[in-house]
Amino acid sequence: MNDERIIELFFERSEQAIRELDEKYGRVCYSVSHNILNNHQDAEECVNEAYLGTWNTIPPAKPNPLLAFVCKIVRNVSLRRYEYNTAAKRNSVYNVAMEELENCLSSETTVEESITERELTEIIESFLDTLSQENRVIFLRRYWFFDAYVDIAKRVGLTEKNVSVRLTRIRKELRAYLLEMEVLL
Amino acid sequence: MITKKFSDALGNVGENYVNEAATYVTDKKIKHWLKWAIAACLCLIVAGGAGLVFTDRIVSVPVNSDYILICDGDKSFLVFDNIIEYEIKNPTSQIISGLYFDTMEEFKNTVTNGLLTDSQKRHMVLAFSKDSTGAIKICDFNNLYVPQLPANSSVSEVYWEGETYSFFLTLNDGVSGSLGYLTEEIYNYIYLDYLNFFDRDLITVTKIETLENGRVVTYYNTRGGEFMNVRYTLTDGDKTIVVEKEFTLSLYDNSHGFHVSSSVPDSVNLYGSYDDEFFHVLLRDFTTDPTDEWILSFGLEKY
Repeated sequence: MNDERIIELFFERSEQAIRELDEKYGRVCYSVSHNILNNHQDAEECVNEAYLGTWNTIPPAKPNPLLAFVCKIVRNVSLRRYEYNTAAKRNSVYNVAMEELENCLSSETTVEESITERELTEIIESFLDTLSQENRVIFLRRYWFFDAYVDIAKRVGLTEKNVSVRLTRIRKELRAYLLEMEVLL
Repeated sequence: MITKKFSDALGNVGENYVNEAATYVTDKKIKHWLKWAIAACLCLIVAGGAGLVFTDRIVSVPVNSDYILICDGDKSFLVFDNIIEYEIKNPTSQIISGLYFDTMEEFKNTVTNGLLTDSQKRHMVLAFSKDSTGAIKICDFNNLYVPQLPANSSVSEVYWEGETYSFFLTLNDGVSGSLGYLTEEIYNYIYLDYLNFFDRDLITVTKIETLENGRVVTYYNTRGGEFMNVRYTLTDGDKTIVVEKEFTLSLYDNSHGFHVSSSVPDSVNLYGSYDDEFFHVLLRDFTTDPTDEWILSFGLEKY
């Protein structure tokens, strides 16, 4: 079923909308959540919560593309759950990915307090525009979807080693970009 | 801490970035010959050639256009002289995944004669699948297909999505639907989804029956209601059609009056294949259960 029809079902308040949404994008949603939480049950619950969030948002929202819209909700719900879980799961892909970023973004002094999240998002978007499509996909698959290297490698047709090297380079470029934009000092 | 703030800010980047990463599929295998092909094309352009054919690769240069068409048997590409001209970094309008044409003739004529509008080109660059060199993957315009349909049926529109294209159908007895011409890769992808359908977490299979002629009937529940799925395979010469009929037996909330019946399907999916050609048909709005003879009348023929 195409996205337009699924959204129509949401507008009609038909529960079939959830079924169709799950049939089409359930696997991707589960993968995003599981990459963050590293727990099957938590991931399932978060995906279901995200479906409920989608149900409550459409209407009035009429998202296009639907996949990105639902993935965003899954990511937010899963990150909230991650923070809520007192027993932090230090072995999730999310955790490892965050540690990678932490090294890249570390700085004695930053102006992060004075920069709003929205401004930072705009700066990140302008950084993404400087990357090739393949590097942009690699970066987002790692730090947005929290994919493991092996999965990114399969997706973009590179070896795991290549993906690792590419990510190191991209993080270096990111750091330079943030310094240039005076996000890091 | 900045890592947390960075992650939150990254989480809010535009949906076009997320969608690109979510749907990206590589095609490394064609990269090397494509570079060669583009180089060869450039030589042709310099020489002022148009529509030239060499070895088994076909390169067409539509007159007065800013793109060329490359065909190498089972892979075809559209390469712009300067793709940057049509790139939109931060699209504000809705992203559509394809382009509409009234007829097959208009579709072929527009693309092969260089009549695509700037707006259509921008949509293609934004939405169509591309090789890492920026070449847009398209269907083979030297081997286009049109649907074979039951009697009293017609095609209302052609919808082009790069490598694939589909036809919106108006059929007898108010049945509506679409028939898509697919690449083997995309066919396999959707067929895998069909095979794994009952593995979905929200689906609980309650009963499976095997009937005559290999028909498998699966009863299942979801949070929405109770459903029945009937699957079987039909063959006619070199054509094979895997049939999937979906019946809605009951809905927990049917205040919107959806069609509920154990004898008339809510939708029918057909996964069709010949030796090298693949198609998918999705049909809805039935008033009776379609016969196998009617289903076997769907197919593809050379345009």
